[in-house]
Amino acid sequence: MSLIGKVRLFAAKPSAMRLWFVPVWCLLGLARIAKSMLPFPQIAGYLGTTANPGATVSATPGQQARAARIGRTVRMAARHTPWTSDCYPQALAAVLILRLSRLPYIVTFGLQRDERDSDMLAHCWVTSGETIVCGGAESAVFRPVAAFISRRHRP
Amino acid sequence: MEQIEQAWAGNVRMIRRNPDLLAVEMDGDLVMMSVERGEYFGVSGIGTRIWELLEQPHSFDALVDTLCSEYEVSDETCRADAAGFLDHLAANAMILVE
Repeated sequence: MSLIGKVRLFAAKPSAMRLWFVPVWCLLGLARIAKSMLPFPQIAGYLGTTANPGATVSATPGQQARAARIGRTVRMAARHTPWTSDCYPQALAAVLILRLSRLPYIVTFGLQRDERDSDMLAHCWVTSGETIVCGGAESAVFRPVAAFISRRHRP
Repeated sequence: MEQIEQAWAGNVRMIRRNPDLLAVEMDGDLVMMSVERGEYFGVSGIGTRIWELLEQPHSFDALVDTLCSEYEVSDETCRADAAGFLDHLAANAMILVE
């Protein structure tokens, strides 16, 4: 898609999403830096308390709708970063906004065996109730190995 | 190899797996994520049995005794392989020795 096309598409999006776009875009950049600079235990602490992999968190329909909107904004912003914002920075950015919004969420890390070279592929995704916030497109084929739940919503 | 064995063999302390690590089964292997490291680990073969046994504290000798009774392997090989495996686990903070 041409740049003009992208700008038109962006302008056509709901204003709330456009308002959030710049902060989320910046967050994705910060997430990228955090990923390379911070030790994982610190990031894990930020993500939440450890939960059983494959666990879910309960969320009201209203909460899920808000989480879904946040997810759409994060995913859209991720498409527009000049660097690759894959599942992990998206999760970090989404978690920050979800925490600020006091919404329940779970971040799940999963593995899958790569058919081509028997190596392991890793993925992470964020859910709120049944709603997938980000990373969800492929989450079904990955085996959950670790999960972090929002602190205020841990069981 | 012998030196590694000595380090474990002379040790009467109890070994157990890090309770923070949750292993899940995948195609007959065990996989887990170390939060401490932000890394993933896979365990296969006899390692899965060792991991299973280490849910309870074991001394090195007790561990080897159980393995030797379950697997058709010489005592020497068993000790050497177990010691090497435990070294990997220890290096990645996957076991606790107390």
